[in-house]
Amino acid sequence: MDTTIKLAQGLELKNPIMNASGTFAYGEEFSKLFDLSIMGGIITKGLSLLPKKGNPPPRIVETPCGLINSIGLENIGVEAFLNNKLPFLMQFKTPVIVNFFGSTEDEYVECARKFSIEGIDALEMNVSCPNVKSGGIEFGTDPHTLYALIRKVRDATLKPLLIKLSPLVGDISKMAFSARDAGADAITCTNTIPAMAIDEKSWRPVLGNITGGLSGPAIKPIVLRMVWEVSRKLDIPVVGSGGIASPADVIQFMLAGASAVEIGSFSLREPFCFPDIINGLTQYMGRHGIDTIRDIIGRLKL
Amino acid sequence: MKDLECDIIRNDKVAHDTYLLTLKCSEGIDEWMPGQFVMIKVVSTIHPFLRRPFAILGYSNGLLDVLYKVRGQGTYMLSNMHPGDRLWVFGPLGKGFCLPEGNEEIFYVAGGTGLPPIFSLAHHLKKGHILIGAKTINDLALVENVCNIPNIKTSFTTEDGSFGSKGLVTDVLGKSVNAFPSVIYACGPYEMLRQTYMIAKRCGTRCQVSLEEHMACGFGVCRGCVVETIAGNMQVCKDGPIFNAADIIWR
Repeated sequence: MDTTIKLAQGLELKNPIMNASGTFAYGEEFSKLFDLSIMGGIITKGLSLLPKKGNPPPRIVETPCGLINSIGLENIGVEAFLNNKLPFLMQFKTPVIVNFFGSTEDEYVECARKFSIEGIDALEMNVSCPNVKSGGIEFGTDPHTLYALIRKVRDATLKPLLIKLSPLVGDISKMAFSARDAGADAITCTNTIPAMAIDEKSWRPVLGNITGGLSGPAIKPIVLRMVWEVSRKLDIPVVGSGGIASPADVIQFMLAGASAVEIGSFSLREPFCFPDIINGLTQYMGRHGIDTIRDIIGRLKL
Repeated sequence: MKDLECDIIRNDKVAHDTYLLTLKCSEGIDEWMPGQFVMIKVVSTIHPFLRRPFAILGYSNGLLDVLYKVRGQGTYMLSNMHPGDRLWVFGPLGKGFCLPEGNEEIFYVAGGTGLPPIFSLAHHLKKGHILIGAKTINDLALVENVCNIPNIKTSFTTEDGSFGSKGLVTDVLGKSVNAFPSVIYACGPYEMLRQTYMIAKRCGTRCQVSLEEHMACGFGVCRGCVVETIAGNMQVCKDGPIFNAADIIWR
């Protein structure tokens, strides 16, 4: 059975299952639960040039079939990551994909340069965090701004470059085309959806940041539609991310056109979901006589 | 850390909205310390989506005890489950209390739903003075179990005076702690912990507190449950839930 997926030149996954950025920290905690080498790829917590403190608590609120978070991109910064976390991640036989963001074009470019070293297999550029003013979303909602930013980053690194898009755009295909034209190798579709929760007893917002980003199975149908919309027009791979919670969800995303997927919120509830879903995927292939997983990408019957 | 299938042996109401849950685990849980907790998945369907954190009240011979109060949908659903029903337990998680270093006098302070980690510590050490506070007699759980811990002095306080002395548990603590070398362990509402720390600070006493915060993962990957400390943001689930009170930046 062949579960390999090629996302870009130099970025081959042994299977289409990766974690989403921000629900896996830098891999250490999950490595105590199972061998991270089973993963199709590991995506780090979003990194910025300098450490970032994040938003005030409360940062998490549960909602029907999902949750809203307002972590605010808290991270240890590029230097601490390269010194203290990357060597650990390099021991696993799976690509290390570094997620990063900046508050200026220069910061994005500087991050991309610093991450252009051995041991890092690809970059995922966040232009879509809803929780911070300078988390990239202002770059990710206008196609021209996005194009200009990605061009600069593209010139700064030879690493495969994924662009994580915001769901908060009128026509996500436009953004995807801008990203491709600027030199992106693949698109991640998508980040969390801006949302909020209110406590009717105190009349106050539940989250310290007032608003946050909704994730989990609640958003799956919305993201599935976006993946379908984008991938049938686009000629570079799309990575699906939004509410995936089962092997069936993975198959659905791949039929819609995703070449690979990221699992985030569900792994907060089911820390062992990665081995479970990877096994479930090969079981599905066996049951349906599928020899090569990439044969089902975009094969939705209309 | 494992994710264990557990069968409910007992889920009894022991005080107002408060239940004692006993679970038979499919295999033994790893070695644990008082103060550690577990994340319980109440249903196999995806709503409620997240697990719920509960301090370990006790564990022996494959039986795990948890004391919980109905707070929201997850605990409400849990309170409606019966012996024989199945749920899933991930843990033990977090760091436990640092045990006393010498012969300090030990004070335990538990307010409201803060009893479980304090009970398990007192039960482990079997010495010291446990002070328990609640709103009314109806909110007091496991009074008999507390009194049955060997070598433990007990003081109960209720806000309305319906059991024990009337007032706040921290009032009693303030009168009890003196200059002798002592250590305070506390769990309860934020204001109670803050007052406890003030008393500890005044007496020059070491003080550890067990903090509560809404959690998503429970094992340090999401950074949803941070608390501000003198060393920056710490995660209640992984770096705590037990902290030195002096390290917390109190609001």
